[in-house]
Amino acid sequence: MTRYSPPADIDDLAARPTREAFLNDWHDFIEGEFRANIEGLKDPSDGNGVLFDTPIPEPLFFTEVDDPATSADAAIPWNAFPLRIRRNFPNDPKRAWKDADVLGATDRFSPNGAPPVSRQFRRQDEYCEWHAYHDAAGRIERIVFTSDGPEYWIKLAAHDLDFVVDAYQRHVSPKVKKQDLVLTEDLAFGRQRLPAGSYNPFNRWNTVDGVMHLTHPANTLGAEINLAAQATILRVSTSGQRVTQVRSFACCSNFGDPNRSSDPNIGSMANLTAVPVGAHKPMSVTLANPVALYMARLAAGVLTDEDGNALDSWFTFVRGTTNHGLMAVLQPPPGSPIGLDKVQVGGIPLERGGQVAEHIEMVLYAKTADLGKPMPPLAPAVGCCCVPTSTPPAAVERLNFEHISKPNTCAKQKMKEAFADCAPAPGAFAVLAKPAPAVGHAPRSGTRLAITD
Amino acid sequence: MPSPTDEPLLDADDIQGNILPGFRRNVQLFVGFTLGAGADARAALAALADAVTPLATVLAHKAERKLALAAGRRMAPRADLWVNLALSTRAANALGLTTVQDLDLALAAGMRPARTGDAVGKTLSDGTPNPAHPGQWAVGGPTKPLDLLVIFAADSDIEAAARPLIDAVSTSGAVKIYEERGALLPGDIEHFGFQDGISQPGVHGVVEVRGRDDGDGAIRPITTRYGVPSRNGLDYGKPGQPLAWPTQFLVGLRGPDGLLDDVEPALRNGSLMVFRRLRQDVAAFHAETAAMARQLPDAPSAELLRARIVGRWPSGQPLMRPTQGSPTEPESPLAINHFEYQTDVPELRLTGSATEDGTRRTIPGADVGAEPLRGVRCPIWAHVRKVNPRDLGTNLGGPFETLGFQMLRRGIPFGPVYDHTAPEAPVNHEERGLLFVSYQRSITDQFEKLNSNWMNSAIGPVAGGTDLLVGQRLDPATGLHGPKDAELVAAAGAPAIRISAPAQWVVPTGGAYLFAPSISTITALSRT
Repeated sequence: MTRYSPPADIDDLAARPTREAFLNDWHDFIEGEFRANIEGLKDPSDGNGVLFDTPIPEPLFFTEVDDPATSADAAIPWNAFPLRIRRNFPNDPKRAWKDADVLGATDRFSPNGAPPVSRQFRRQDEYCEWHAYHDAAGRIERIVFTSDGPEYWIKLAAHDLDFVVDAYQRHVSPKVKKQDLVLTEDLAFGRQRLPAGSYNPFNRWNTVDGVMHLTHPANTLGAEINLAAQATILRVSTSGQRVTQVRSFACCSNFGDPNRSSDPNIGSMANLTAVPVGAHKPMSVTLANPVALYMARLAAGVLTDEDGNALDSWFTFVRGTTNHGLMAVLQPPPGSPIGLDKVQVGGIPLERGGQVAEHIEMVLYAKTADLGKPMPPLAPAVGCCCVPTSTPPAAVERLNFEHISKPNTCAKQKMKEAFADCAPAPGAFAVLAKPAPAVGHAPRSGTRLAITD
Repeated sequence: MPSPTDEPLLDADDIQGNILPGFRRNVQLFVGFTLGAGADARAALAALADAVTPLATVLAHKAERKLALAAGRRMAPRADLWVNLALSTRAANALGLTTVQDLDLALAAGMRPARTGDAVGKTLSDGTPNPAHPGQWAVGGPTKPLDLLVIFAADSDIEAAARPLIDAVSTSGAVKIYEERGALLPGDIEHFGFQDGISQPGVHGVVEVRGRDDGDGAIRPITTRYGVPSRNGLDYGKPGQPLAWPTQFLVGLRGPDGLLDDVEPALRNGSLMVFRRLRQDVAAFHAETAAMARQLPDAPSAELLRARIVGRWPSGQPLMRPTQGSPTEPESPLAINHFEYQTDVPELRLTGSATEDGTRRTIPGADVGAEPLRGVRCPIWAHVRKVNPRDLGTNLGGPFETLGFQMLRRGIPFGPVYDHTAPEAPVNHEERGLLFVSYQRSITDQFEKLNSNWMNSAIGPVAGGTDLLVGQRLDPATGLHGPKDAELVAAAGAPAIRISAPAQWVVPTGGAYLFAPSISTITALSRT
């Protein structure tokens, strides 16, 4: 039976008394996420019997706790630089790099019934975030990239906060103190409520002053699992055909953000791996153990000095390895006569982390098994994408969309549908809306976020 | 589909003709100059300005060619010489066109290994100079900077026709560093023996026809429409040829959203150009693919493995369409681009009257076969699938996003045809390859995406292997090209087999990132 391992199989608590309990808790958490999503596919209701999606009695999404996958790992890649931000600055990458470094803020982690609390986060929403550390003179000393999910660090801190403090001191700054890392008020995070005094995933050393793990509200392992699960639902178009176009499918579904490189591609690959176009027999799909979002590599040769000499070795994984990277650091090796101020990325002087992120290949791994499941039904859309009504058809695809979690509702937003594909269910669902989360205000990724963006 | 009046009106007298619709003459002569300290860039341009061939001329020729084809006639050779040119940012700066370098970071940085993945090792393992190192390129790179590239096109006697213009440029102090003849090979193949240039993006837009008997003042589309129904929000020229907006290739125009590409007016109607001199090792390609095929479990023919590496048969017939009879006989020219990789394409009934062969009105559909995402019929890493993933989701976005990466490709082979009947023939020791040329609005977002993010990557646009044909994988330890790996799925349900191309069959040996200005700008710069 599969036991879910920590991301990249990193044994952070090796030889510590907290290890066993943590590993058990981590497995339980990941398994729980799988089971919650599988159950959610079977019974997509709000608890009061009101459906918000088509029930799939025998979902194609599975956990290897129940059945082993039989395929090799299938890599699903995407680029680390936010496509959403890139779209906003056509032909002007420098502005896009700069914009990507601006933090956002959200109150979506406010616990129910409590006064709203605002949290800063990085707007780098392709499951890769970075922070440039500067010296007193304002020069970049190092840039750190992470794809480590926040849930891991929340769990780790719950079992061994001292280790987490030590890790921050090693990876972020020796100035980090325990009190810097803990919450002063309750916070909602997914289905959890993080009480005051527990680990604060949005602490200053992971937002304003450094980076340890992902902070964007949608950059979570829970979102990854949810995305893969939801993507096994087949969607029907207004013409009665299955929706397979990658961005349309993301719009019609209720996962992720159709404006990213990552989510539509991950969703589409999961969907078409489960049921290839024209297939009569579906495959079941899962995420490979250990479940994580990884940096695969930095493209070879892009880092050079001013004379064009390659500096590939300046980018190293300090957590994980090539193809399974969780944290990478770009910095001069010890004794280097030059610093990052002399580094070029593709021949352009290094000024921003986004320049490097554009050359980082991200990846996650899926697996399949033939579990004899029946072909799932073609389900009506549960979302749609809207654009301003004045948008000419030829311009639609180059825009960022509003992803609305109710189909056929763009007109209510005084907008129009980006695609005509998303076919709502005529009268099938009394209320086409998502249930309120158990704790906190946080909807799943992809819905409209109350964030400064 | 937008009516002609919705289409952007392109200036047929201002846009260089190799950008649109593209030179298509029997021979081309590429001549490169360095504009050093002693050169008068303005005089160099003045020597050429009156000779630059506009879109209108080339489009008229294209129309004549199509008429001849439809009538079953061979086009009579033309006597005129066509001329187009492009400038480096250094040359543009010298001419006062200082904002060219702001058009694109790639253009500003120049063609360099950090952007293209080219070799950085100066010597090969046997100690000889590495011709793939930019310092040892035949043209371009740090030692032979290419500031002005002139492309001449003619049907014959091109050297004699071009010589006065080349000499006139040289009198400006420009130093000629490069001259190479390109020529169409019999059957329109490239040196490995495959039909080339089959899949090109179409372009939205119309031009006004002037001064001709066949309709003075008439409005004509720049890309012929064959009555292909719009699909998934896209309009088409030929089946499988989606139309892109001209802003994808030209600078300073209004996009489909009405937004202006806001640049200095002098840059309007220009285009960013990539020139790559790609040397092809025909002997190694044939010998090594034969050896690779022999090592595979099912021992496919070398011809099949080569087709998998390219994604098409030598005839141009794509692997994603059913092969009727011998693969040496392709389907209709209107059919061979009508395919996708993950979704079946339907039978098309063309509604227009313009068909290339004058007969086909119905284009058969094509299914994608079993396990299309594993690349059973056409490998994930096949060259044509790598550089144009069509309907696939990719690491860089979906099909609409990636359609935006497509470029106008205007390459032509150089060097003699390889003599397969006499491997030791002296002609086989001569260099041969492709003078690759592409035009685009952004080198960063177009050429480099296809080249670096996809051809050179084992996991882009989809994980499964490097482009064995053209992709480059550098060994970080040596800076030299290393073997390239890919996973071959030979049949539905079969496990993936790792295969490896031991050597680089296509080696960049020259090139530059350039800017091809509008004709009015060339004229203005040459006079001020």
